[in-house]
Amino acid sequence: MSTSALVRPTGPELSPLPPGVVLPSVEEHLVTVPAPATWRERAGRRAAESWQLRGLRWGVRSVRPPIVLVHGLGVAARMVAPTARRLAVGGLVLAPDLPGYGRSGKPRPVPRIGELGAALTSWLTTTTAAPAMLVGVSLGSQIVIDVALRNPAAVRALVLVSPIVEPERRSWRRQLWRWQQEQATQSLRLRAIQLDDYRRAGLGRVVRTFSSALAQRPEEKVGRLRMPVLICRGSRDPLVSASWVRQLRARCGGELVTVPGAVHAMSYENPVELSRVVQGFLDRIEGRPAAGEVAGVRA
Amino acid sequence: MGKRDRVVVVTGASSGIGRACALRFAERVGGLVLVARRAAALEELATECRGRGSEVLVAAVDVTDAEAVDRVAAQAVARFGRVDVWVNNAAVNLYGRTEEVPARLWHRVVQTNLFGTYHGVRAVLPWFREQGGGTLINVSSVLGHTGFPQQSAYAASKHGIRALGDCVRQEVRDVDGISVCTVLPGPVDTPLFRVAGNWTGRRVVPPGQPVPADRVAAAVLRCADRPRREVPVGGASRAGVLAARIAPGLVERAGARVLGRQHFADEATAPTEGNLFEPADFGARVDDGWRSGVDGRRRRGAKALLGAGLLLGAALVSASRAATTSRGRTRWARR
Repeated sequence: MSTSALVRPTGPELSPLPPGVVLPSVEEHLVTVPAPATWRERAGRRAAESWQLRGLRWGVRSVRPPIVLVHGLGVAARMVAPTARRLAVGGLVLAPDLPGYGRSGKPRPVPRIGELGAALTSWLTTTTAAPAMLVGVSLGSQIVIDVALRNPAAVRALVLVSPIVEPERRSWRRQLWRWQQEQATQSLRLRAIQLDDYRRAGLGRVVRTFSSALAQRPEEKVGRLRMPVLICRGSRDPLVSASWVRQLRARCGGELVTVPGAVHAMSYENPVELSRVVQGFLDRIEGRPAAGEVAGVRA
Repeated sequence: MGKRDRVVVVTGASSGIGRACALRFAERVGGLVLVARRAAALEELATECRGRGSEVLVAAVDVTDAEAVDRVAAQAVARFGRVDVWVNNAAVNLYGRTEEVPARLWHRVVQTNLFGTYHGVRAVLPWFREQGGGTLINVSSVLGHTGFPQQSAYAASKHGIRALGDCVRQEVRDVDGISVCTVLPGPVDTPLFRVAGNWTGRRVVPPGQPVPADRVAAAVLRCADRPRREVPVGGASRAGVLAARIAPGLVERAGARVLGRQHFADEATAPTEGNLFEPADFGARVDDGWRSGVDGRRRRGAKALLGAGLLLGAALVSASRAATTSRGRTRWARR
């Protein structure tokens, strides 16, 4: 009997873990992408220049669309690793460090959200041929929206996890206090990782990237998306309000999931829940019967 | 776990104890999954639960279908990310002499009550293991501890549910966070008596004074907060369970003589399959008015007398047994 026969199709893929099944290990990868034209203009550089994007990779290519996880402000791919590891049981999962963050190159001047999106769009076409599912966490959600609008053909679906920033709170004054509240929901391990990543990026870069994020209008952009969208919010997230995600959902006609008890940094703190929700969404849009929509079951 | 952080699945949610549980959980949990056969009744209940502040997923599924129950668990975690509490409550009942009721009805009761619970257990345990915890609550009955005339299918299935829970509790000892609870209600004021299959030729009325379903729901919620192995609900069922343990023979005889007579009204009815195969088109409610009826008031005295008698009998028997053993031991020790 093959080991896969021991796992029932609708059960969790990691457990019960049949003997002989090894969890996908993580590998590092490095991709070089051309610097976006707008950035070169701002930087006053005429010559073609390239950015180095380092990142993490789990699992192997399968029939499932590859999943790309994009981290939030100041941190890097490590912050999405627990979720990625779980999702990698079913196929390829990639998590790049955004330009300027983690171990990727540190372009100066600090790229804006649109420039990060442009770089990630080139990164995506270099890295995977098949349309991928993009999962953006917090600030990463703005970047995946940007990528999906730039190159819709490369994006199978979008997941916006704890998407920021809502219109009523688009100022430093309104963000700082809530950001402090959010810090209180983080584990010590995540805070340690966060401190390390902030040190690598430099506080100035974090501040400038967030200034650019405050100028974004995600509620207008999601209306132009033409692929399936899932919006995911933790019920204990002080940064993202329930009314804001409802508004986003209404604009893009996607699905909305509120994970009870989950926090803002869900990809690190609630990886079991997030990976199940993402995998469930992928099963639904791929029309897989195992965990797909059942007759008689609906929200 | 804080307020509204939990996700709860309730089977048999359309009426009776399940409905009472759903309404109570709706005030406290973040996600609620309602499972029953009647889609319309569930939709109506879902609206009420959403009004109480919980997000609701509705699953019009028959618990006798193992794959469908598997999919309910998969859907619940895909929708909420987690299942913290799974309440196996769906049950049907059948009255009639064991040799007289049609075999397919007897089978159906065990399929719904015992197999249905088993399907819930096997559907949710893999998810519990993956997330490292969860509380499984199986609704058995006082009839999970003792027998009852004309209800062999029900009592056998409820004994089975208790045994199933005991076995699973031993199996999940390797995962600290998983608890298995068995709730043991006595007679409860629900539509169960009216919608039960009945081959006795007489109308069924609840024995003694039934407790409100909400009281059972409160016990289920306490289990969800602080899991316990077995929880009898109400003084009468506590006494019943105790008596059945101390003096099983006596309880059997008392049950056959007194309770067996009390359980049926002097009113002829035609044999009915009840809601065993097709859900009833009425009774999508918590109670069935048994507590306020004239019947209830008439029987209250009898119930008190019966309870006292059972306890006294049990005490006498246990005292005489204790005396015998102590004498025996003394003699053995002297030798």
